Amino acid sequence: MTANGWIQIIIFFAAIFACAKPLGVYMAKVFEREKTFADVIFRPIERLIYRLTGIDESKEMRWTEYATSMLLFSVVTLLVTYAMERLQQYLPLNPQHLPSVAPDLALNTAISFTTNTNWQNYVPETTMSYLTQMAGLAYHNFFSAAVGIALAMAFVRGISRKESNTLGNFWVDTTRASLWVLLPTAFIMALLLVSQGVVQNFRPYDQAKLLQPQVVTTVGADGKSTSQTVTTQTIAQGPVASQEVIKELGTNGGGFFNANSAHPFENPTPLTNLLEMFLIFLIPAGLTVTMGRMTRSPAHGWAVFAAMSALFFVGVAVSYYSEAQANPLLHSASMHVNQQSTALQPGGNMEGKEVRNGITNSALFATVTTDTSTGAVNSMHDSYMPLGGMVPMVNMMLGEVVFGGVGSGMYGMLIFVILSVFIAGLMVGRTPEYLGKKIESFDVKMTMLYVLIFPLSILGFSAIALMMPNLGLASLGNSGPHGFSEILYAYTSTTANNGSAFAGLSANTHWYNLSLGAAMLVGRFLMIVPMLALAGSLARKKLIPASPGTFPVNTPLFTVLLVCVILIVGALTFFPALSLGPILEHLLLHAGKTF
Amino acid sequence: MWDIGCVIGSTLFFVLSIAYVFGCERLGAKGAL
Repeated sequence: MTANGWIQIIIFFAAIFACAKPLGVYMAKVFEREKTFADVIFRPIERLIYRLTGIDESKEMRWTEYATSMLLFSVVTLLVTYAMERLQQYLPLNPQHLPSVAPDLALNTAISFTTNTNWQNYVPETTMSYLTQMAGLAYHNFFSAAVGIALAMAFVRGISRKESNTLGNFWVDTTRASLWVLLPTAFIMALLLVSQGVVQNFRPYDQAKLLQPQVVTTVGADGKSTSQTVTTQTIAQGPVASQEVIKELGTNGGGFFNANSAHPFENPTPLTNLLEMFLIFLIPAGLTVTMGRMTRSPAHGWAVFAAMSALFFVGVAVSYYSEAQANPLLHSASMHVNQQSTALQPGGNMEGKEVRNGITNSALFATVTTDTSTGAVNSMHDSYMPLGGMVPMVNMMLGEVVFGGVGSGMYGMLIFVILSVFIAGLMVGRTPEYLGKKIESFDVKMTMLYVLIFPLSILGFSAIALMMPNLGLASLGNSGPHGFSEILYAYTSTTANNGSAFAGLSANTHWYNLSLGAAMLVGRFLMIVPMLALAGSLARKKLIPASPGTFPVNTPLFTVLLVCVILIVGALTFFPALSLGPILEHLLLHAGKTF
Repeated sequence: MWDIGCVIGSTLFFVLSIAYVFGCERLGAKGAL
């Protein structure tokens, strides 16, 4: 680790800290329909949308209506995307004449983008047409993020309202999240990305003549090897900047290219790298301020922000330290590889990392993308040192509440807040209260349903895949604990709606397309329902005045308790699985074994 | 055949999710869960 590296990390975090309050206050005004500087532009458009679609913006919804509207919206958009992929070869904007997508892969992809996961079992530039990328996938990048923000607002209203049966209007919240927050930010930032060299066009792919022809040898199914001389290289093009910006801003993560943010057309300069990480944290950080303002307890919002920040710095420190260390096998007496950090080389573990990004910006990006539900990558997590690779996995296993996905991070963290308040209430022997609301039996049961569905999906699907040699194990690229980690990572990433991968798993098979699709659906919708049920229950409650037994939720003590609850729940649930994967791999690496 | 299975399977998941919504509501109202 270097001082330069830590300065870069601190600059990144300072930018987030500086923008959290102005953005958070703006979003609170948008969702509470207060006057903002953007009214003159967006209010007429918003009214026009409601007039055209027949939405009554004054109509409030009970939690069941809110949940049902969200589910209906999701299933319709999922099926439209599926149809678009299946009919791709007959549709326009397909200059490469790409064929239609196979049904199981099309289903996996439609689920993946509907659930804000963006797990990709395909190579985008050789599978998806420009129309599919824009109208099918980037469309979901906007609206799955908008739905996440709408759900977070519904939950915050559940906390802030008293004796109310309603949580807002799903269609209005989703429209406002898209129109007032996501679209304008994405438009401005996309222009900034284009100025840095991110491509934005509809041209067919370019063919470049190689200065030095390459001889490529391949082995066929019959075991015979054939060689051919390659003299040209295909350079993929497309409307990249417009998708790149919402990929980060909406914590989606699905790359226009297979190499994702390691590709120079997606992430060409140090400034775009910083900007992309900034966009990932921007809205989730702002939502802590929004929550504090809407619940009329700004200090509580900052206490939650502090808990998220503490967990972020622990994660980035472990990741950065692990990757900056020399690989002990390359350092051994027989190999003598120089892995020191010098003016000419970054040192440490550079396997799977872009030289332009180096150790610091790879470790930071990996932490940021898995603290949130993004899943974009600028380095290959499969090539990290065992403990370095464990950090992204742990970030996801904690429920992606370290800033988290847009909206989903906020309501996920508030679930942990309620769990913390409940535990604090048990410790002092008083009925737990949260911002003037009593936390009762139904609330705790919905909280536990939310908390338990998550590991049930991850560990259940992983166990099934590991028990089936012809289906689960046949796709592994590595054996031993690293192979175990590849499967565990896949189901963790999909259930957590992250979408990043340990790329050693070849997951474009019937089994993985369907089972990972099921994990994404469970991780998104079966967790949202108890969350909204809890919000509905909280909204109906009376406010009770604070008493000496009320546990304050705006103090450093609360922040420490919240961090401990998150870590203990995560550790108790996943430590056995981590012991079989990255922890065992770390110990075996130092005993001289790799996988 | 695959297409029919994919459409029916995903639609069925959402139908069950809507039933799950009303199941939570009903059990919450009864105080039975």
